Amino acid sequence: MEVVVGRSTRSTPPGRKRLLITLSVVLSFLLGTPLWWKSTEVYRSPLPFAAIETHANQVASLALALPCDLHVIFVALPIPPKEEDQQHLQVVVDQIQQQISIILAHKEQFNSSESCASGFQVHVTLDAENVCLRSRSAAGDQQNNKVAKFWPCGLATVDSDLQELLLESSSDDDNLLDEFFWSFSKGEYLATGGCYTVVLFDEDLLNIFSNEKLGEATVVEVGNQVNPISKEGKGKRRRRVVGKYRHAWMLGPELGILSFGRDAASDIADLAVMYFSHGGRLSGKDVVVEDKEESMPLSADGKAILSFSLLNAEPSDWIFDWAFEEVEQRFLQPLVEALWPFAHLFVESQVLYYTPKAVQSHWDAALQSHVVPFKQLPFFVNANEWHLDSSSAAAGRSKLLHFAIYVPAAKECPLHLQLSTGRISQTNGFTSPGWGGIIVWNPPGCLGSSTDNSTGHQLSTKELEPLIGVVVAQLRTLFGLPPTVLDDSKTDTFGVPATARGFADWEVDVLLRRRAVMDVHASASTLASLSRLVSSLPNMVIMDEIGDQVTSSLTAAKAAREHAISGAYHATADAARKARGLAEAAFFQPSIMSLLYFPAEHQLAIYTPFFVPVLLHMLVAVIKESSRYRRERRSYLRGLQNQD
Amino acid sequence: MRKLVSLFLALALVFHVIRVQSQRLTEEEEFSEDLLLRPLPDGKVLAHFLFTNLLPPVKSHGHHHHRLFPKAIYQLVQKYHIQQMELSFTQGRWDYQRWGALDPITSANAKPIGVELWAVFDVPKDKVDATWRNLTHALSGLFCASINFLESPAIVATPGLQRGVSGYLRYGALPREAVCTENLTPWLKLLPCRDKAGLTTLLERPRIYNGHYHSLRIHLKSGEFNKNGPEGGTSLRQSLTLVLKPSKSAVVPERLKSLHSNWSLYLLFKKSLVGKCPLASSSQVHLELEGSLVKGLQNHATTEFLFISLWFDVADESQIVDKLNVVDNPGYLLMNALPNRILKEIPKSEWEEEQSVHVPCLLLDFEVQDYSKAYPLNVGLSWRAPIAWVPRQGPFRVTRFLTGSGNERGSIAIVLKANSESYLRSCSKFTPENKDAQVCALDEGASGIDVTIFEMVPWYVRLYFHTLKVVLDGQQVALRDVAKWMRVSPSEDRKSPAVLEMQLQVPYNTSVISLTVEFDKGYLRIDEHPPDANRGFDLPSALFTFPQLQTARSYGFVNTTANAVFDQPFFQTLLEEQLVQIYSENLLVHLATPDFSMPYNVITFTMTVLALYFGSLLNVLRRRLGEEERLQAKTTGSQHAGKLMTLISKYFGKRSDSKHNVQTRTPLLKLVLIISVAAGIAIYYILGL
Repeated sequence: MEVVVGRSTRSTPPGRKRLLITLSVVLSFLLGTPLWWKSTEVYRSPLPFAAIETHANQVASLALALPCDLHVIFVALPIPPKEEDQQHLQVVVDQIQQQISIILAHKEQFNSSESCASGFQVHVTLDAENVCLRSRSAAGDQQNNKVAKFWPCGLATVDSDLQELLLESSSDDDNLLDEFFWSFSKGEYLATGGCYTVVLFDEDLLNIFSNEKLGEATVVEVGNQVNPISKEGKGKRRRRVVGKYRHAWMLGPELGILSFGRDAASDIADLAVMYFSHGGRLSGKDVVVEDKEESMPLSADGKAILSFSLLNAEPSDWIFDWAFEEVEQRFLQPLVEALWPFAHLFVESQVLYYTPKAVQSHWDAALQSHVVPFKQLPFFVNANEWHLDSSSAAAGRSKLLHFAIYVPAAKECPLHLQLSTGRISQTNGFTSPGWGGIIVWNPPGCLGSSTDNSTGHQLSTKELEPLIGVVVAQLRTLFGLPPTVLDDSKTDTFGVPATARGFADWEVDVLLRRRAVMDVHASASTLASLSRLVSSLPNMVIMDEIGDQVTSSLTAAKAAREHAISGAYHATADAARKARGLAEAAFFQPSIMSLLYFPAEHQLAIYTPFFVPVLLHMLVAVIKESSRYRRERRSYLRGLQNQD
Repeated sequence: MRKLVSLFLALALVFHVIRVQSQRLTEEEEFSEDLLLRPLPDGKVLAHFLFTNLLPPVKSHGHHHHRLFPKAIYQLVQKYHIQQMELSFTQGRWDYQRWGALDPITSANAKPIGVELWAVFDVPKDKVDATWRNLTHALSGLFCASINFLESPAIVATPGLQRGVSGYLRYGALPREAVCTENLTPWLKLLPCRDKAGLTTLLERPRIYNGHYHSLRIHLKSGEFNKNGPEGGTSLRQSLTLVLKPSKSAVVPERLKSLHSNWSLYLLFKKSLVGKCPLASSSQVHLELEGSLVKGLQNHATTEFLFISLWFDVADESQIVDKLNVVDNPGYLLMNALPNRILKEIPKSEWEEEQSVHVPCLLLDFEVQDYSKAYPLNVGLSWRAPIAWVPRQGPFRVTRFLTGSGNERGSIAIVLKANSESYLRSCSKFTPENKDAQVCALDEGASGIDVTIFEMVPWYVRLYFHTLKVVLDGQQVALRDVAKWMRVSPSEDRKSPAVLEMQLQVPYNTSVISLTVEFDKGYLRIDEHPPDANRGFDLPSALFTFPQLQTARSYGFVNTTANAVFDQPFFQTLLEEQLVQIYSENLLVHLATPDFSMPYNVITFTMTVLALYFGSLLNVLRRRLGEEERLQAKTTGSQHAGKLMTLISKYFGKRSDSKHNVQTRTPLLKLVLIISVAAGIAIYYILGL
């Protein structure tokens, strides 16, 4: 081999042996890289990222909304059936529909999550003694087997009980009337929610009733006097009563099918939107502006524990016990059952002793009581001494709602809470959002001579009843409803209090709608966060369990959406709760934590000592060899040219 | 003889009544508090607080509203279907020799150091482990302790034949767990009065944690999930057992100083009792005088002693028990309070009565409700004469230790030494001539003393059960000659501990029993070591029981023979027949502790070697020696020669004159250099490790 050194030429082509060796080393590295990559990979269960994103987008663009139906019934006397009645009903439907959309146009007032999907679908029935005429929409549904949702006809023909009840409209009778309607409609429409009925009684009809009655009954004490409607009818006031089920009724002028006007339509629309759709919170002008993301005191899986505690502040003065078992059975069990569609509540109780409050009260001579001022209330709860915790809540992620009944010591009895206005609180209790409620209960006769009753007293159910009333009101407040059903004399609207269950059916519907929408939203946002987290941390191990939970959550959310369209309230709430619960479970899966022990820095520290020196050598070799090969080849080519 | 028979009948009646009483179902929730004080022979005082919370059966008395019973505990019972559970937090070691071992209080409350938990569940067999796991988590939340470490099945035993219970039993111990006020506070939270009123007001934290022994205990028993047995209520017993040394008082006479120190509630706790918990159905302080102490006092009293009592006038009749004035006698003076009643121990059996093996113990009861802020209860003893006494001891005392050295193997040795004081041995006195004296402390037909051993060893101490040797008084005996039964469950790595349960029967006159078993030390993974791995690993205490001995103790009024049955939970607790239990010490095993930075060192080292290998291989493969030599030849002496090479050639000195030599050697030199550097690094690393 003759080689000319320097810029001279060479006669033989340069050898490729060493270049090939170097390249084969590089190649083996390149071949090994996928193997290494695969073998050091962590297990990641494939998550349906696309589906999560679609779900999130769907929720963002088109919120889940449950449909509502409004069924308006005109009760009328026998009328000759006419052809144009059907058209007339349609006109009424349109009128009400229009009014509803006008009210809903001021939408910023409302919490959109609890609204019905696209307002109400209005149906009208004319229930005369001889005619039962339904508007086209109602009739159309009849063919779609949705007839069960509507009341049957025959209200006008039933019996005189109704008439009597209608004529005497004190609040007691409202309750009876409510029950009457309930039994009348019972079994005829589905009790799952979303279908509301307004029964209209025209003034004229009532007058006829009362005249009939006058005619029948011989003993009459000035009949009309007990009937305020006919009196107020002149003032064009309509009496509106919202029942504790899913119906309301209106008494007053212009409520006949013929005399029906825009004013009455607006009245009905107002009733439907304010109460059936939004829980009766927004009455008139005093709109409570709630924060948009109003949350319910429930855990992700829709559970909460109502923990009742009787706090004996100073047992050496007196010791009280309570008949809680009975209270629970009589008052709380119906409430728990009523809320079961959207909230699974559990009740537990305890009696605690030596639990002084954390704030000092002062004696107010004018009020003849010890007073805790309004601005001290946030410090009332004594977290050190009130051991309210529960071990059953610790096991899960349940929400705990405390209801503490505080029995003050003898030296601070009677104890009253002062409102910010300076008056004394009527309920003597307050709520703390997300925590629960506190009620101060003063033992009777504690101002008198110091009693030597250090032995146990038991608070009977009767004594506890007002307290439980306050508790129910507090619970309603915590769930975002007014403490009691509004009796608004300004608009002449009255509510029938749901004494047995604390929550009216239509209020449960409102809460259910809100909860279901929130659940679906929360599931979407949780899943979206999870997918962001997962994609931002490529080293994170993702167990199959997480993947399964995510998939089931998406399935449940989809089911919720489908159920919502078909108007199945309970199924929607169940599916939505499931979607949220599973999403949360996936997000809080403990196996995600293992990432903490295997950070990216470790990998760097482990691989650098190997890859840096080896790759350095390889790169240098490749560069040197290839540059040498090029140079030698050039000189060889030059040599060839020179030969030529 | 007739007298004896009638006495026996009376006693039988008493026990019958007692049996009925112990199954008495409370109609209402009941809470009671008791404090037992007992002077100990070494001048310390045992203070045993017992709080009992009884709950009537749920089925007959409504379900879940409780006036006094702690909600948290009841929820545990309901959720995990607990039949029985006992949890103890202990600090300090019980001195069985000086403080006794045979009475119900000491036997039940002398617990191993750290946390001990056992529970009996009534759940399907496949759910027991999950239930146990959940329970440990719930308890660790409830008591602010790391009980949740007991969830790992590797340190939880399933005792087979111990305790004789119907449900599924799990046993676990954490010998390292430290006990502090953070455990006491949640324990107090379970009491209706917490530490606001009643006996708990005595619990001044600095005092009780400065004591010599401190054991916080919870015992839960529920009849609700008893499938076969009768439906029963739930009882929760919370006890705190303390051994305290009274703080110094100036009034101890010089000659007594070495023996006893005067004490009172105030001197023990820095507080006096000002009243009971208003929720407690009974609230009593009991002062127990051990039988042997009473005997010593009686002996002292027979000597001529004239003393004019300072506090009390002539002792009234009721204070004189067995010729001993319990309030004011030559041995001591009871200070600041007079007992509401005085009780005397009823001998357990006819034999005990006849042989008078024990002088009966005395119990002085004080009703806390009689005292107030103006007149607090501050009961105490002021010693007048040095009296030495020995508490009742079990038949054996126990030591356990490790033998062997190094990190590879060793053996566990258990030595039981006979207590000469134990009355169990009174049978060995019997002689062939006097056959009538065969009435024994033990059951008839028993041919020796039974000892049950329960030992649980974590898997990393690998016991070789075939090496188990039993030596009686220096004579090795075959295992089958002494073992009545034996149950061995070998350990499984990281899954279950080794459990050794056996019952030995040894002759009465045995004075030393020793057992040894060899083991290998296992290797733990690096992440299985605790943070301070160099400290070693604690092995839980072994438990010894003596099946022939029961600890029940009953009290009756002094001057009547029997018929006094006290249904307060305190006396019920004393009456419960339980086996005498003795725990051994914990053991500390050293395992080979790894250098925790080693994995990273190994990685770095291996990688460096690999990198060097790769680099040099590549260099060698592509090096062209001939070509380089020719290049070198062209540019000799010029700046092209590497500086290092010139240095080396200078170093090699004279021979570098010949340029040819240098040129052939340089690549070789380079290689040698690289290898030597690599070797240097390697050696450095190895030395560094």
